[in-house]
Amino acid sequence: MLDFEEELKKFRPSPEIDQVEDTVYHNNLSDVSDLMDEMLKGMKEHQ
Amino acid sequence: MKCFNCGAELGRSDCCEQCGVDVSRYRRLIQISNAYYNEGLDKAKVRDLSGAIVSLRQSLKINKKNMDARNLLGLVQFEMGDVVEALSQWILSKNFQKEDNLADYYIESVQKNPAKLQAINTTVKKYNQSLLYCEQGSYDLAIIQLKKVLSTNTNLLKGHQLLALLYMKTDSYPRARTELRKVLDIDRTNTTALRYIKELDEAEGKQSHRQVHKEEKQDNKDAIAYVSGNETIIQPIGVKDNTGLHSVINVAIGIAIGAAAMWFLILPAQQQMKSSELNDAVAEYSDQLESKTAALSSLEAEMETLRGESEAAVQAAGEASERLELHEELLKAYRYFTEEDMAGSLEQLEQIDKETLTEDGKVLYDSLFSQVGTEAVADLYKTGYDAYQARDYAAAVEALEKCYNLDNTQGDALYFLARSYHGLGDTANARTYYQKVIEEYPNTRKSADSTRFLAGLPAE
Repeated sequence: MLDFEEELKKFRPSPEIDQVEDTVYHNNLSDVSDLMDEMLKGMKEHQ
Repeated sequence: MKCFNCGAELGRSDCCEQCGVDVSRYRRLIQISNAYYNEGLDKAKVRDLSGAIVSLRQSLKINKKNMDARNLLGLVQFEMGDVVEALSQWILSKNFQKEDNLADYYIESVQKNPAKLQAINTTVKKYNQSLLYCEQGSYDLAIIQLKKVLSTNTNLLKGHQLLALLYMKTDSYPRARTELRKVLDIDRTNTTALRYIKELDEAEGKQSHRQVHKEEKQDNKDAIAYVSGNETIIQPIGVKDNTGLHSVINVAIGIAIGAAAMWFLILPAQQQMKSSELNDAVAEYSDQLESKTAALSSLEAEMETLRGESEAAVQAAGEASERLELHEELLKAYRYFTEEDMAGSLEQLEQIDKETLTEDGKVLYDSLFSQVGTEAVADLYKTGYDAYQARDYAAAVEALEKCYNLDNTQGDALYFLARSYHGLGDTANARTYYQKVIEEYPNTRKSADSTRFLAGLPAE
């Protein structure tokens, strides 16, 4: 059976328009190529 | 495709022609990212928006610069009512690729309609407000607020989901189902909506099962059922033909049922309607209050700004007036100069604070002061000397002191100033100025005379 209180906790306040900047800045943008980059740098430093 | 290491354009080879790094795995990653994008696109086309978001996020985790994936992710989020998240994705996309980017069109489309954007922002605020109502247990107010939100922003999925949850809480299952259907019309595989529908099915199933069970029990009391061949025959028990008495009883029962229906159905419905109207009014007043408070604070801010501007204007006017007065003084000094009243001109110049003048004013001041100064010193010396000769020592002191203050190389003025003080009987000043003559002009006749007169002064 559905637990109403628990379900309610899953709903979070929605960001407003003036918070777009924060949302952009807090977006995690690292991808696999960044990872590869870091690995390459690490290898070069090791050598 | 560009090399991840140096950014050079890659050819068919598995190594970068510029930096020589192995790009075979990188090429494979880009292919996987594109495959996830294609999967996301396919899902979006059949309105599997939740699935599309998962695939597109995967695509971007592998290649953050997959602009098609990022733009489509923004579009899907926009369709689901998450405008801020959508704008963030488009802004990021624009940041990665400034030219020839579809995100430009999306951002422009949103920005060229500020009224609509403002309306959406208001709905977001109201959605957040309804979440607060839920936390406070004011579910009626939350439902009213959410209905308003969804009448403006029909695609706000989380709004529909929350409203459905609240309807489920208040046992309004058909309404909850309607909201969940709206969610599934927008996003066909929305997990939350599907889960709620499952819960609804279970809740309604139990309810209908209870009703059927009750009816069966009732039937068993009133009738006997048996099977004859292929037919089920239900025979009522204890049915007697008491038509007259039955009519009276039926009428009485009808009246009782009518009264009960009145008491239990119509009156509560009316009360509920009144309470609902009251809640509507409260919500409306709360909205009005919010907007009035916002307007008031904006007016206060405006008033503060105007007050600041007014103070600055008063200050500027005061400064301008002071500057005007200074320039009038300067003009007066110039007039005295043209009338060859050098002392008057000099006196006027001395009243002016040069630093507060404008650049042109300073130039005029310097030019006037250099011309007036020399002549004024000569004039003052002559006036002072004439007064000394005429034994008018007070006038002589006044003119010679001014002369010496203007030009302290005037040794004669200094000497006759000492003499005039001597003549006035002011021995203290006479001693001071004799001493100055002796120190500043040694081995001169002035110095020898001063030494002699100093010796002749009475001791202190």
